[in-house]
Amino acid sequence: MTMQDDPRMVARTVAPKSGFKLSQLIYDTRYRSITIQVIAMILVLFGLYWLVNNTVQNLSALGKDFDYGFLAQPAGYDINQRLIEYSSQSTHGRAAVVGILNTILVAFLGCILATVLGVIAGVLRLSKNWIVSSLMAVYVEGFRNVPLLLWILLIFALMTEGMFQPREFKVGGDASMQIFDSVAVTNRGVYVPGIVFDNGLAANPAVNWLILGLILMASLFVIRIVRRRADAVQESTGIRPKTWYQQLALLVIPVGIVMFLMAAKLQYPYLKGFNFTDGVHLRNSLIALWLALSLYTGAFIAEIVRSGILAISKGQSEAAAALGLRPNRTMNLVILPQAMRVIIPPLISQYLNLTKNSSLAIAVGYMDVRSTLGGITINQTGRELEGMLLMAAFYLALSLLISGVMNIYNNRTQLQER
Amino acid sequence: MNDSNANNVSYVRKSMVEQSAPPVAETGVIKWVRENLFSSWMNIILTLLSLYVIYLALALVLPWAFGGVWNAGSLTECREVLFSFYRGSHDGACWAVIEDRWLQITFGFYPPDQYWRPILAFVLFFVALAPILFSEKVPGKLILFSCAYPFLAAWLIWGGSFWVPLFAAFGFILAFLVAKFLGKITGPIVTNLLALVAALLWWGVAMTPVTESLNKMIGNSRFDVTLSTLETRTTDLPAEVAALEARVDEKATEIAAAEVVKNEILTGMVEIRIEEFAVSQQIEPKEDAFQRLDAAQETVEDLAALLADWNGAPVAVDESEVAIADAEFATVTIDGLIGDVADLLGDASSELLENTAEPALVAELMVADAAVADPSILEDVASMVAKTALTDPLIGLTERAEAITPQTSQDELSALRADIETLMASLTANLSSLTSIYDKVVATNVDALVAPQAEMLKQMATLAALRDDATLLSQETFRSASELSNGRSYLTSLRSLKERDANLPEMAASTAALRDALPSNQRNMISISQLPDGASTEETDALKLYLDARNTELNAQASVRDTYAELGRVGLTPIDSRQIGGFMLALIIGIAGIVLSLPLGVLLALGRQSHLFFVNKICVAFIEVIRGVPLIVWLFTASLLLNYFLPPGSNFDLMLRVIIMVTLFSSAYIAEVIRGGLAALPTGQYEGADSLGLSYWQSMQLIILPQAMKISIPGIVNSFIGLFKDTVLVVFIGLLDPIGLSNAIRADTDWNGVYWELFAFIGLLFFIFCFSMGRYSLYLEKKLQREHR
Repeated sequence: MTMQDDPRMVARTVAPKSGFKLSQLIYDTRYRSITIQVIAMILVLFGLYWLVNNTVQNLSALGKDFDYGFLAQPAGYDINQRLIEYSSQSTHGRAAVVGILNTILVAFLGCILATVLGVIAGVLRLSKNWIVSSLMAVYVEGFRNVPLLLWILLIFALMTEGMFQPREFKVGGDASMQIFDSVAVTNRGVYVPGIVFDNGLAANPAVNWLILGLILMASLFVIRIVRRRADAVQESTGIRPKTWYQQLALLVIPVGIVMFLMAAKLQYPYLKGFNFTDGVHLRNSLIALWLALSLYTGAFIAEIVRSGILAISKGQSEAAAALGLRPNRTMNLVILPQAMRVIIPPLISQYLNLTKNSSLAIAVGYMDVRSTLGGITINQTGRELEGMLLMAAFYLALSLLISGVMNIYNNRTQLQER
Repeated sequence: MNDSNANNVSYVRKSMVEQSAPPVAETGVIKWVRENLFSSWMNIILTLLSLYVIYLALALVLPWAFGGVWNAGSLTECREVLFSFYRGSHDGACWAVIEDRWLQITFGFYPPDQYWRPILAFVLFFVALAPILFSEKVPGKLILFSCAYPFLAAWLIWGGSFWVPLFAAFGFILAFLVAKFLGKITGPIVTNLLALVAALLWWGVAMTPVTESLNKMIGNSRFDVTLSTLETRTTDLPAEVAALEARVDEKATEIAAAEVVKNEILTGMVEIRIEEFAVSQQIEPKEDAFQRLDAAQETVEDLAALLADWNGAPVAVDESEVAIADAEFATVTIDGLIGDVADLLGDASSELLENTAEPALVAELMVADAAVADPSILEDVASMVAKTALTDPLIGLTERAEAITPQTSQDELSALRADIETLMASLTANLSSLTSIYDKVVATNVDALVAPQAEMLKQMATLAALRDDATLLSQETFRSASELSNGRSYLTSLRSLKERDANLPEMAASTAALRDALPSNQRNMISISQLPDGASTEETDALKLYLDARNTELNAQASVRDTYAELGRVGLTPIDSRQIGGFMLALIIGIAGIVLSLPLGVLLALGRQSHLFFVNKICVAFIEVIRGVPLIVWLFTASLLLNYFLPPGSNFDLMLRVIIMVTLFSSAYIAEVIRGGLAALPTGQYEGADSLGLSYWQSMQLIILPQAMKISIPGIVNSFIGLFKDTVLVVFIGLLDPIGLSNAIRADTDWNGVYWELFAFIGLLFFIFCFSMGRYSLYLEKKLQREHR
């Protein structure tokens, strides 16, 4: 008699030979997971059905239908800040696009400034200089522990209540322009010099900027190739060729030539009547939102940067010193590449937070997607359901996009780990 | 050489040299400062820069904050007080607005006599928290109180009969009991499902009739007593209200009298400072005129340079286009400059002519008050130039400026410049004597103002005390008046209660008859817009008739129900959600959101870790959708869309809708925090639980979750901080959180224009809360780290 033949010695559970019983659905681990999933599915589907059914009933009771046709109707309202052509005769769809672009604009500007502020504050907070580090601690704690909305309102109030009126800039007035008379900070916004193209390649200035942007990207691409070549030479010969002047030339010359061809020149704002004309008008709403978002998120990024640097063990910098690397090379070649791995994931989520928080634009009347599509359009057309769904879809797509792009970068930097 | 030899050598020291003090630069504070603040050039720059920033911030904030006014009834009064202390409206904070409204910012429009309820709920919150945070230090039985706390808190805050929260809690108790008994008989799936069904049945079907019949029973037993007490009360109350109103009027008269006294003091101060104002009114236009003259002088200089370049009127050098364009541009510029000179000079002369007085008048004013004023002021007055000495030449200059042409000679232009400069010199002399007079007058007035300033402060304190009394009185009056009006309407509804109750079956029967008369496909419609487009008039009318009857019936039912609920109430005065606001609202939404989202978050976290494909995907989708969309969009969903998703006719309180939405929102974040906790547990824990033969739920409940939750507490506290800060967003859907209240306060004419004080107060409160919680979570993190090692 072998061991397998003895029924008492069988270690595995063997399915009973008899037919399938209904109670197995609950008691048999092989089937139970299916049962649970089916029940969960039924419950979820029933819940969804319940929600949709209620919505259909409520909509029909109000005499409404579910229709996105309103996006093609004329909007009939003005948007004071726009990156593309828009007038009150344009469609609701275009108004939504203007709002989306405004959201992306403030999110983009905010991410850049927040990163700069955050990195500076994070590094300075680690400084041995007690005054500097405690000043940074005050900044970080002060901004982290007070609602963002309050900061937005505070900065907006500072701009509208605390600054001079444009007419004060007249001769004999109390105010004067800053930075060689080129920037005017008024209670209606900040006026800075703008670049205009007298001889643009296209009539639309946005297209000209787009062309410049494309050229800049092409230059950056070529610079990358140059750097790779330098890397390759360094790998094979051990000597790194000097390429900084090539890189600088590649960066400056193409853009410079195109700007010269388009006859680009600076246009300074000047006072005309009771307000400034020419130059670029940065509205208070944009400034308040941008600064508040950047300062607030910068405080969080500072903590991330600090913890990222602290996470690198001291042995790393000591080993680098033992190899004879100078402090700045230690930072660039040893500490930062490792710290970046710790810093990037939470940094992504801060960028996401900043983008989502830009919806607080409503507090200062900045025309982002929530104010156009999710605000005035909904109020005018009465299409709450459609508008809110579209807006939620936009934010969701933007969030997934940012986290997707950043995850790709993250995976690349994480690759070195074994 | 041996030791003794060495000891005997005279030039070898036999005792230790006494330690000398280290160099001054290497000890104590100096060493610390040198090493930490001034160790390198970079560090020195940073230190100095930081010190400068700190100085700027403190110089801006400290005088403002500490020079503030605490006793004032309005922003205007604040400014009056600041003015009387030689300070402009921007140089001192108007803390009076906080003193006046801090209760409102904290509690919203909650009735002041009921403040003890939210305070008690807040204090009990910490008692309920104790068994969770300090499980080892408090008796284990206290966890029962933690379970009961949500119901207790809701009852304390919203009031009503005590059995309402009790019945709501009974659903959970029922589910627990069912699970306990069935757990011995069947498997976990059936048990949990049945427990859920039992609870849902109790809440959905049985709870309302039980509550209503209890209300009715108690209500009927007290009907006669309540009616008679109410009748006597409503007859007594008018006299009480009238007496209170008389007292309010009396107080108003007292306040008016005190205000008159205050205004007298203020007028006295203005009289003392009258010369000062007169002189300062002279200074400003003269300064403006001086700046314009300066600009005119510079413009003439530019003009002269340009004309010299062109040698007179610009003429094109040759026939080329460029040359002609150059000449044209120069002509235009020259014309513009000529116009500017004339305009600037004209502005300066009108400024001087219209807005300044003769020195003789200034002198007269000073002489009138010579007894008080510094006698040397008269010397300054004497040194002032007569007004005509300034304006007459200016008019001449303006004419000359107007007469400038491109042909004007350089000599003439430099003569003009010289004359403008002469005028500027006499204006400067004038201004300096005026400034000197001003300073001297101010110096004498400082002493003269000390007594009235003290008097002013005293009077403001008196006024503040009077106003506090008046507020209390008017609150009492309001309470009595609303008791009276509520009592009267309650009396009417009580008198007709039995009749209305008896009518209900009849109404129901007639509505049912109307409904039966409708075609069967229309019986469930809730609005006439649901009828197909081609419906006939009769059909529409019939449906309308039925819908109206149904509405009337539902309203009648509701009103009878409400009357019985009030009549049978044993408990606290009910409070409407609209009366809840301020920090209380932020705390309620924040705490409710976190506490209610915990169970949901645990389930979502377990679902996200689960191997069941469908459950896993559902949880992932839910979490990502919630986290991908900003809270503000969810809040608007709560206020605009939630009614679409719920059964027709259900309409509940905005605050409850917000709490539901915030709960869903934070459950996604909590789920991620707890998932982190689950992932942080070593796999051995899971395997250990499995090897003991525990089922999934048993292992979760007994092994995994207690540990994972403990690790997650700092993360949960952090999400609470985030949520608490985010509660201010409810201002956008019309709830009165602190920021909404600050807008409301600013809408009051008394406090129109108050920004910084309110921002500072609200920000400080949030800071204190969030900072201390953040520190606590850091402390917990450290403690947990130690425990895990």
